[in-house]
Amino acid sequence: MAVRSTAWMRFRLRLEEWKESFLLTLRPWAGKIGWALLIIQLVLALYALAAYYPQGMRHYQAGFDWFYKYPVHVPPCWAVKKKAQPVRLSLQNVKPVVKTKTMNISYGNIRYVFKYYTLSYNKSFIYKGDALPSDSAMLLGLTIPGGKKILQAKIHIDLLRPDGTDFVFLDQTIPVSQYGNKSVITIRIGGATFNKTLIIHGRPVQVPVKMPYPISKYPIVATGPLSLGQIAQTLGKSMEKVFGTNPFKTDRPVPAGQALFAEVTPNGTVVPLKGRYTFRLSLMYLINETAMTPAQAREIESRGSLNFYFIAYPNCYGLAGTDTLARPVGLGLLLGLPYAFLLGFLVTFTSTFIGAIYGSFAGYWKDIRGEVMMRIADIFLSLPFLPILIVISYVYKVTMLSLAGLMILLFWAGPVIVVRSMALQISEQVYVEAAKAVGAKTSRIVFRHVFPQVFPYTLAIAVLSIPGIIVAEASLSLLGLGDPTAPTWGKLLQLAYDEHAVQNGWWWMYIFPGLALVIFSATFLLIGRAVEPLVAPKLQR
Amino acid sequence: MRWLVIKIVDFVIVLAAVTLIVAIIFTGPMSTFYKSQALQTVQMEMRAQSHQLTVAQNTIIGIAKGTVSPQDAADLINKLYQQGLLTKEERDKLLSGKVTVEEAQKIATALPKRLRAILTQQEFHAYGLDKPWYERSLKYFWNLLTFKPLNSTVLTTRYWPTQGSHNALDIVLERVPFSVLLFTTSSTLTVLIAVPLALWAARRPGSWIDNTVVAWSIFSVSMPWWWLAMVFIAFFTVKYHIFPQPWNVNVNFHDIKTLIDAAALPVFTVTILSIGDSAFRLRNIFLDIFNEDFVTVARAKGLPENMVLRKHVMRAAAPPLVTIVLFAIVLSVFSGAIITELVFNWPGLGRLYWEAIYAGDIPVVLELTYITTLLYLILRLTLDILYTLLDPRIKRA
Amino acid sequence: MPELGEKVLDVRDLRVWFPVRRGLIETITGKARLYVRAVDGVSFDIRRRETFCFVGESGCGKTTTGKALLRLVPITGGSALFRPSKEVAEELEKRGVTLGEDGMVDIFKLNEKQFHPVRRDIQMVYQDPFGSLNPRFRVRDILEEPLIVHKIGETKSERLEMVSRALEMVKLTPVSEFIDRYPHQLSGGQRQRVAIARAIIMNPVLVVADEPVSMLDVSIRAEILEVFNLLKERLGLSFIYITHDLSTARYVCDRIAVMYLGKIVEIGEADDVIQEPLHPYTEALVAAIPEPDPRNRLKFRDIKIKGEVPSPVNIPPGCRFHPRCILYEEALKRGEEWAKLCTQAEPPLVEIKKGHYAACFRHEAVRAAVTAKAAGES
Ligand SMILES: Nc1ncnc2c1ncn2[C@@H]1O[C@H](COP(=O)(O)OP(=O)(O)O)[C@@H](O)[C@H]1O
Ligand code: SF4
Ligand SMILES: [Mg+2]
Repeated sequence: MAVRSTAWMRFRLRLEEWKESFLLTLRPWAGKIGWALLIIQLVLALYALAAYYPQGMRHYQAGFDWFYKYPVHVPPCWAVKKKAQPVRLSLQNVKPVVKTKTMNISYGNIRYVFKYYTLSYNKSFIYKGDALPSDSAMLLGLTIPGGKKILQAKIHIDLLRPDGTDFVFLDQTIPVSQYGNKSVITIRIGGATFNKTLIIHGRPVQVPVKMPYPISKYPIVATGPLSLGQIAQTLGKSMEKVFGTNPFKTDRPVPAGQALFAEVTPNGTVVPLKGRYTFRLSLMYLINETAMTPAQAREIESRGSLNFYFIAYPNCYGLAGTDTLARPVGLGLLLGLPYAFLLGFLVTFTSTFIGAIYGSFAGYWKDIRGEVMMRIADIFLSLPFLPILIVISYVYKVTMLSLAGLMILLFWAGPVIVVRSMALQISEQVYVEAAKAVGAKTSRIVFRHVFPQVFPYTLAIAVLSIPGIIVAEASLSLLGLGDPTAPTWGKLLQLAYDEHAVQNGWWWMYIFPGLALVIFSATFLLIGRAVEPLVAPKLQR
Repeated sequence: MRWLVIKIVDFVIVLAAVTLIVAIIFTGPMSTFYKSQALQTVQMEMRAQSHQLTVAQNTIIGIAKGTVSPQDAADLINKLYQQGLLTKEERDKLLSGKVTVEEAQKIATALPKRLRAILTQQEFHAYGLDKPWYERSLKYFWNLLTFKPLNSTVLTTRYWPTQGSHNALDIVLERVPFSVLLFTTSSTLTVLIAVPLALWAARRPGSWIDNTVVAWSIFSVSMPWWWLAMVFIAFFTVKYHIFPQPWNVNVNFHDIKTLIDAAALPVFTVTILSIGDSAFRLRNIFLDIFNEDFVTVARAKGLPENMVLRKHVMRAAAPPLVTIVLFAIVLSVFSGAIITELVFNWPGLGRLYWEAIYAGDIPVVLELTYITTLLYLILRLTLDILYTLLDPRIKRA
Repeated sequence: MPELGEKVLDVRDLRVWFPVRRGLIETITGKARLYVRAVDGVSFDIRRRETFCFVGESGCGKTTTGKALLRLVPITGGSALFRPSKEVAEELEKRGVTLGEDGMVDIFKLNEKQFHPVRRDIQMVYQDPFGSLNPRFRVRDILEEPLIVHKIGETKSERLEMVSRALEMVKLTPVSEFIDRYPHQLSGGQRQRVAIARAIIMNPVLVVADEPVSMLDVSIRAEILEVFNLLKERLGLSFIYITHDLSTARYVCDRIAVMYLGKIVEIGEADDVIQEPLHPYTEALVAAIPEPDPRNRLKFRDIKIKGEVPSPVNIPPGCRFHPRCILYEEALKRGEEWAKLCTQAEPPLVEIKKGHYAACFRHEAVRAAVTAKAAGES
């Protein structure tokens, strides 16, 4: 009977103790805020893990089509007064108009039948945004039946604007191969001023005068006969026709992706052109239908198809905007949270554990062994840890875990001095001598009598060192040395620095990650400061 | 005296340990740095010598075909022999002209391989790669400790009177004054501001000034300093043009006005940040002192509060307190604040880290780590000794 | 007086000197090393079922003597023949220790590993019931620790059984109520009972009780002393009972050894020592006992002592008591011949009456022993 109730009673006693000390830490305002922040962040971190681990996290750092889903470096929506209207178009439910024109040509006694087969789509939308979209993109999929029977194919895409002007994207004859063509092309119409340079999907037609951001970041996905250069040239020419050679008297260049929807007022400012826009697409091919049955002809005709998506990106995104890789910054903040917890907790817990054991022994052995141990710990304490971290992570590429290991190696001596002075006092206690008299070995005394009394207090104090760890990781990342696969806040800050976010005024790219870091660190400082007065007398005892 | 001996011994041990660790990291068994660098040099040499190689090959085949007379080619053949590209028999054969076309072709095709082998051996020797790693590491360790010149691969000196030097030590040393300027100025300001601020806060615990000190200490510790620097740059130089934009300024010691202009924002930022931690520490120490007996006694004797502060608190506490503040600043500078220079485009040691890492300049990173460690340890030791001498409470056991 | 059994412990010339820490400079300059001579040549023996008391002022080395027997302090010299119990004797044989013909072994000659089993047989009860129990341990953990350390009891329930029995023995009942308590949930007397239970749980031969009741309420001292007596009866233990209080010693002790500055100055049956002390120091101690009879309280009594205890670092030459000895002073005044010896030689412990030893030159036998020794040497 006693045995069963014992464990329960003991647990209840412990619980009571914990509850008491927890409530004590809640008394100062620092404690209240700290614990509240901790709980919120823990919940968020768990959510991030549940929702995005592991695929989403990897995707965030590399290899996902952020680029086609989100606008590039747009501010958060609450900071934008005039909003653009996002546009998303596809030909999914659009019926093509089919036109055919048959030509019968006789050459000697042979009769040839040629057929012009034209598929044309019209898709219109109304733009009524108060600002220009941040950029536009299109995806063009083209399937052309192959074989000797197809003689020529031609494609034409243009955008008819409300004021009757017309931007031609493509007006091109396509070489037809023996085996047919399948071609998908994705175009991000961003870039520099259209009149000097037109950057279409990252490939400049001319050398840009001033590039707002590096081109190489933009992935190029293009196969088949459609050439990006062709599109750039065509669009550039027709835009020049509409706007003239140097219409914009603004100091900032207007990217072509925005210029699609732009109108230049007489005083030279750029405003959105509201009204009905129509995309006109047509695909035409010339078929030699000589000696074909109607069924065969229909079969060949039906093999050609056109696939088209158009996106005009909003000029703001979410609560925290997007970065230059078109990733939502808010998502980055969320995904960085588990990493911050992992690094902070792992390093603090393990190094405190090691330090507490080490310090317990150093305090228990009052002879030369303790002396030597303290000298060694002193040496570790006076290592300049940042240069060493930099050097090691420079030479050997680190992962999150090896970085944690490295930090443990550098930080374990942190609690040793405090622990040792506690252990010295504890090992003076009569009950330690009583244990010795009974025959307990050193390891038993240290692990059963000294360490359990020391560890909780040191851990409570060690929480104060979490900010240092997180900041160190961020500093390493800024130098480009952190774990390249982990989406930490430091990585976001590094991107902001590398992409000159400060110069360009993309404040959301560095303000938010920095704030996340500050809040995370401050949480532990607040908790630590609240716990410290409870623990400090015991530490100095 | 014992404490002094111990501190100096510790200094030497730590310096040696760090240097050894750094040397092993760079040149140890797991590092491929020097190997890849050596191979790269070999590649470049091969490319540089490719023309001469082709000439040699053509000559050899020409001798066999009879289009070149051995007498005309004698100089070249002898040179090749001296370089170790031909064996003795081959040379004799070629000089005598009695060589078949197949043989000549064989020799000609072997030439590039032999040249590469010889160059590789030379380079490996130059980098010490032909010795076991511990010998290499020990050599680098010793070279670092004794400041042996080390050639940088990419970076050169820019601020020294002799520009364009490839000596890694020069490259590092020319940056030291910049860092020293920035951080001594801001630590002086920090001490000047933090001590009165802390005293003010400690005299009225719980007042708004006290709460500000406490709250700011929390924030200044929990943020990367370079992040606040980014925010300040955006605010003070991009949004409002109060300070010059760091990326448009070229700092150097000849143009003092630009230097001061450019230093203003960094000094301001670093000072504000280091005040946070220092003022909080000092405030706590002051609170402790106020509770100590001699202050209570002085107060009880009816001395005016100002007198108590000046005569008892400040006189007892000031010198050690200043060292405490300086100690904290040194610690924070070397554990991350130095990276702030990067954001400010301030050509100190912190920025050099970034430059060297991005340029892949290993010798500079190596030298930089050594010099930084050395500076840190010297500062630590000095402050430690000062503190022990100044603080009457510390037992010099 | 109960029947005394065989000798269980025979200590000869025990010395415990603690080195005084020197600074670096002193070490370099080669200044002579100083020692705190806490115990400086103590000899005594203890029999089965005997309670042997050490009495003396605070700081005279009683505790150190007790701890030396458990080897809790570094031993400088001397020997201690001990008769281990049967189990321990077997264990010792296994570790390559051969017992003497009389079944005794010198525990100071064993190395730490060989001494480990002996720790089962010699236990200690500390003065401070608040410090000697780990505040984080429950009563059962405290009592279980020796069993775990010595691998006694196969299973946890077996050990629990032993713990319960020990608690019953010290009258901490009902056991189930106390076994899960933390020390701070116990009163001082109960704590001391737990400490005693820990000492007896392994059936020891000898228990060193270091002033076990001095920090307890006067009201409960008698109960605890009763527990000691009971245990002696039931388990056949021998006790070394350390106290500075001669008045209680009379009720507990079979024999008393009076210590002064690291040396025993008088040994004898408890009643003999208290009723007719042979050493001036003992006389002083006895005189300091508060008179139980209230009518005699105000009667003038001689002060037999002067001054303070000297530091054990600088022990006075000759008889170490002489700077405080009034007898010596008077004898010197009177010009008695033997008084000169007091500053010249150390008085050895000599049997003056049957079973009653003293070390003072006022006794002819002691003087004779010294002169005989001096003659033997020259
Ligand atoms: N570990 C130690 N180191 C140095 N001196 C000690 C130590 N333990 C005891 N002493 C000294 O030895 C003397 C005897 O102490 P102790 O045996 O505790 O006396 P008692 O128990 O009779 O009061 C005292 O002077 C004490 O200061
Ligand atoms: S020997 Fe002399 S000094 Fe010592 S106690 Fe006896 S009389 Fe006193
Ligand atoms: Mg004692």
